[in-house]
Amino acid sequence: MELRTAIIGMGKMGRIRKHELDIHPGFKVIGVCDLYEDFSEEFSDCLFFTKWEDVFSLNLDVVFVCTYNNISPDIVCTALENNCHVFCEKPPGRSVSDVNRIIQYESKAVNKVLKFGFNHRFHYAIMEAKSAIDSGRYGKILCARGIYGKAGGLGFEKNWRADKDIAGGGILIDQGIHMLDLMRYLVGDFVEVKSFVENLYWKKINMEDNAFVLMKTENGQVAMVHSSATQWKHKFSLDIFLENGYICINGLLTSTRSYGEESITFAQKQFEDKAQAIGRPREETIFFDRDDSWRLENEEFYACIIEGKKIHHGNTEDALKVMELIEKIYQKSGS
Amino acid sequence: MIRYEFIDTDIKKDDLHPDNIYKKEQKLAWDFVHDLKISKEIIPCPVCGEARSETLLKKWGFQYAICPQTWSLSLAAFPEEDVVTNYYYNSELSHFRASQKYQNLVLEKRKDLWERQLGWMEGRISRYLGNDKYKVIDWGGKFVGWVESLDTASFVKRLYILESLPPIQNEGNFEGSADIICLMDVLQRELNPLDLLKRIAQKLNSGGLLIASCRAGSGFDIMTLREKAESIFPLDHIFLPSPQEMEYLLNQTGFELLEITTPGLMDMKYIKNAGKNIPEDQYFLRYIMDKGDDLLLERMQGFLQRNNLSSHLRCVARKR
Repeated sequence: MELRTAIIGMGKMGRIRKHELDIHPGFKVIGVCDLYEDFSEEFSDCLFFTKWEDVFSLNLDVVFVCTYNNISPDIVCTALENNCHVFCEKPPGRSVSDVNRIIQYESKAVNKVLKFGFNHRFHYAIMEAKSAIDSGRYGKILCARGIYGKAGGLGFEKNWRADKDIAGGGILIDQGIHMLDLMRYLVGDFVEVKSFVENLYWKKINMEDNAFVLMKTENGQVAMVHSSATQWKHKFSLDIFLENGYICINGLLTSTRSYGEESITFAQKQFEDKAQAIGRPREETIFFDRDDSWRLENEEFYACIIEGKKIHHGNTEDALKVMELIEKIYQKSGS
Repeated sequence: MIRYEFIDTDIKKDDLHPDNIYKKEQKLAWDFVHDLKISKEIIPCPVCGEARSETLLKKWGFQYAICPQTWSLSLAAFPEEDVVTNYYYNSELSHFRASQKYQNLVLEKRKDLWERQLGWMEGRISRYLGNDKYKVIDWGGKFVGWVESLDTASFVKRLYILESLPPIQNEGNFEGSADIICLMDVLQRELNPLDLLKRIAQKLNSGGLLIASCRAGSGFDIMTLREKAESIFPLDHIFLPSPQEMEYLLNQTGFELLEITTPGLMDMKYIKNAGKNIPEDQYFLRYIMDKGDDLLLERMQGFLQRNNLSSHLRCVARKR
């Protein structure tokens, strides 16, 4: 079944989505919209709109929302009102109240699928980690440590992301949200938060460029997250320590390869009786040469629409919980 | 595609092949094959059918030829099927390997290795099929200890044995199909790998997993040491695919390759152990072995693993 699809917002993410949807046999992109630039020539294979409200004249099945954070909740709610399945990029708005508003519209939209773009869950290293944790081979999780950082860049302070009214927050809500979502996904829900949310370098933005977060689950598992816009060499790392071993993810495959080669290392805990030297256990590392996260994300979305199943990755509960966590991190900073 | 790297500094050549036993096995293999009459003709690649003209090495009168398409290595001319059957089922070598003494020694040496192998399999099965118990076939097994270990693995609901070598007893009339088939170090002794994988596909449920390992002819120690590579000899080693040939073979027989890696740990150790047997014209390796330390060898082995260049390969494939 081919779903009549439109994409609203043709920036970086809109283009990635367009490319992926064009190669998926189940989606037919019939319209695209950008509020700021005329891309009608570039996307001549479909209708082009400059007002997002006009897209709904197309009798759509699906809308992809790839716009700025300040307007994405309005578009998601309107799309649900127009009886469309909706895919919305992260973050799901700028606040918990944005997500709550979306949830109200979702509850009225009968049999409509709403999914948020937490594509990191579909990176192969993360899928391997989840499978290993769920298998129970390494026992229960004790703690986790995640670092996700980028360098900002020349236009960083003039970018829309540097405008609090548009973005709702700094590096934490923009990029750190992925690491927080992964911590929830792999470790569980956190009930206690301590944090420092700081502006250390990019002084022209009135938001954080670094966030240092400590979180604890009800079971006492502790997670530490550092989200940074002063990571001059891009970095993604996620270490998970369990009762009987550890799992370390390093690097993340992206189009520029700036986060390095994506790999996951597994090891069983070994003391002096089993290893040549304590602290140097037998390790197994898997390297991944391909990022299929966008495709796999689309596949889940499509399968849920066609088979009437519930979204497992990036549903409204995930969106709400991660935004609640972010608000708590902002509120608790320094306390 | 994914690639692997292992850090395992504990493993030694003696863990896999105790020298005195290995020498006896080689002697018995030589006794069986040295006066066999083998055609001088070079047959085409047994998998892709490509004509071959280049031989990499000659051992005990047998030539090993390279497939120009895939760089896999196999005997230039194959012996008759009944000769191979005799070698594996009726020869003095087969009796020696079936003996309790031999099997006990292998168990003692490889117990930890098998435990790690099962850990790896458990991980791959959990990744591709989910955490459950499955109907499993061990195909072509030759070590009692391995089969017994596999039988206790967390993912095994019921284990069946097919086409095993002595002393392992085959499952009588196994008519059904399984969720998982293990084919550990079997392909290398096959005269007709395509037929073998077709038979295996028939016994595997759709969506089921084939987990296979074998020696890779494109691996570093074999390509480097050639005649001096002690780890391969006829008729233990008939067909030694490269990762590319393995992929082709699986595609031709109804499988989707999920991953293929060469996690071999021994290439650099085999070369080091070769000592003065490293071919004289291999100056770079002679230099490394003379001046390099264990850490250098470990790093090189890691490089071979990560780039699918080691001489032991393993793969996971799903039946389409």
